[in-house]
Amino acid sequence: MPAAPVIKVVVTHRSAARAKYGASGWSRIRKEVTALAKADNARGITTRFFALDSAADSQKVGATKVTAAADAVAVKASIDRIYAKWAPAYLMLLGGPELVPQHSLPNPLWTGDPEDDPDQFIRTDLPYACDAASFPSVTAFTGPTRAVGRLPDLVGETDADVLVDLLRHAREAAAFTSSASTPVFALSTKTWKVSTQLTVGKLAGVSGAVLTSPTRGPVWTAADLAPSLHLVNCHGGEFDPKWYGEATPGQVNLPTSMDAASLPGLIAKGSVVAAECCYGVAHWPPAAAGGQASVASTYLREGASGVFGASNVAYGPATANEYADLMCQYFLNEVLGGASLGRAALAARQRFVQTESFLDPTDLKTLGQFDLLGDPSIHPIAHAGQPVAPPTPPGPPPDGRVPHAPVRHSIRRSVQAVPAGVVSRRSMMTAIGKALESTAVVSNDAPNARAALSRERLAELLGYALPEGTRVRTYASTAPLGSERGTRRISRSVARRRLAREATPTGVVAHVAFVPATEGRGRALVVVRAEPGAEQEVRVVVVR
Amino acid sequence: MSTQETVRGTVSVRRVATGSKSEQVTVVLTAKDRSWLLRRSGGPSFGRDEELAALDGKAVTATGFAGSGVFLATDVAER
Repeated sequence: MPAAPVIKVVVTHRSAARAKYGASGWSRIRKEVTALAKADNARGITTRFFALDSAADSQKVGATKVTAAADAVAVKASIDRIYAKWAPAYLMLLGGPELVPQHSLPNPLWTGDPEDDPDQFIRTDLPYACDAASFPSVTAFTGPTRAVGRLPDLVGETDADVLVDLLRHAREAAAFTSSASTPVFALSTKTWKVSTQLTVGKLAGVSGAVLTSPTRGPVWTAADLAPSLHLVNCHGGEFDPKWYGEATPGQVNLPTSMDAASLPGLIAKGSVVAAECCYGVAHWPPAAAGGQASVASTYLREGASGVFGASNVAYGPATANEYADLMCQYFLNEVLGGASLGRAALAARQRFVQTESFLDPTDLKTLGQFDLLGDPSIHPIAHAGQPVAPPTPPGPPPDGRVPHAPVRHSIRRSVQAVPAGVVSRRSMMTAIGKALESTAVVSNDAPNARAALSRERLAELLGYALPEGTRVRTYASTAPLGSERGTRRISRSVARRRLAREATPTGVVAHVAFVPATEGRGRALVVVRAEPGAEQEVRVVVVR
Repeated sequence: MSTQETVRGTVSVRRVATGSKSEQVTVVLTAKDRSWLLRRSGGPSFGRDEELAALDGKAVTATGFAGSGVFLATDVAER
């Protein structure tokens, strides 16, 4: 038994990191991890570094060392052993996918035509947040139980300063003080203003108007961006360091709403971002954008505590709240309530599953695509009466920068002698995750061979004609798979056969159609949800 | 993902809502194993890239970054 409870585990593939950064770069990163652990310890957190490729570390938890850094299944097996042995409160993946791989799960919305949904796979950290064993389908990961975040480096970049800076920010993290009304920076496309207003209206105790692009952005001041919470409901693109507004549905040549290149010097340290934008937290090489890192990476480099967002194309309606809207709303409300970033992400995922009567294919993609970038143990908002930690001890290297800190306390983190209330809450969240895994009704991750809704009937439901070529796909839903998936690696075709064999039909179906743009209407994804004994629900959503 | 790769495929262009303010031009690169939305490095993420659209129906060799949904080409050459 360890001397104190292991509360946070930092994992990475050390050989991959050494190969990427060289011995001296890795040494600087490792020293900063040690400094973070010391700072955590002073704040009451026991932090342990775990090299996935270390036989010695692996032996401590009964795992097999991970040889190939890209082997996500092996990494998950090690992480599962860490949880079995140490039951950490937080798991921090150190580095981007070159050091700790994302899982790549088939996207239920993939039709083979990238004009519909361009993502064949969902790149995700969700499996690391679940007790369920590795399985090549997002349908297996509906019961998250773990608070997981990733402190990412930059794909293809070998300057260790990036990860050193992010680790230092985590070490120096300070909490914003909660007040009666927490200011929020809310930015939306003009076309989705109503949806964004609805989201902000559901955030507990926040103030701030929804700004829209056009006409706002991409020039912002430090005062504009000073609020501790940022909600961005704009367009985003892969390999693109900008986010975009939209004046009218289907507009081309979208106006820039936020430009990563113009963010340095403007971000308040410790701020938290929930981004609905497509590819908001995607990992891609800055070399693809002339050396400019993504908006999310720039936020983190500038001292933001965390970014919660989508790894690929995300969806939401223009005038209501669904999918990406809900994930961001749930996450921000948890942060506002004083949760750590990791717990906020976990609770958002759980609530997202919990509040849907069943998970349709777009729900499944949404659940899989939202990941947390940042140290999951950070509590961004301090409430009056919460314990305030002692000052952060100094750590290498001194950067000489003056902290950009208006009103805040030293960050509050979990305490070493875990209070009964915290233990109880963790048990409850674990129980919720397990219950969701065993009870959630879930669409299959591939459509039936034949659609059960005609284009004409869909047009009737929508109240307007649909262009020729609009194809409807029907997804059956099944009751939970049970727990016999096991840990043995199996091929995708075997997995699909097993899915079909184990599935219990429920009579719940989702009809999905990608509707091309027409005059006055942009492209839309239509989801018709049908459950026995209930009226059909029609959701019309657009690509974020 | 971190390094560029070269892919052989065919470019197809689809125009929807043609002639309207919402006209969308989508350029797709179809390779042997999968297909992506095709963008040019420096080209617009959202908007018309007529230089790519001119490759409609052509077999090309594209070099660039293969992403989740987008192939970002630093070079596209007709074969």
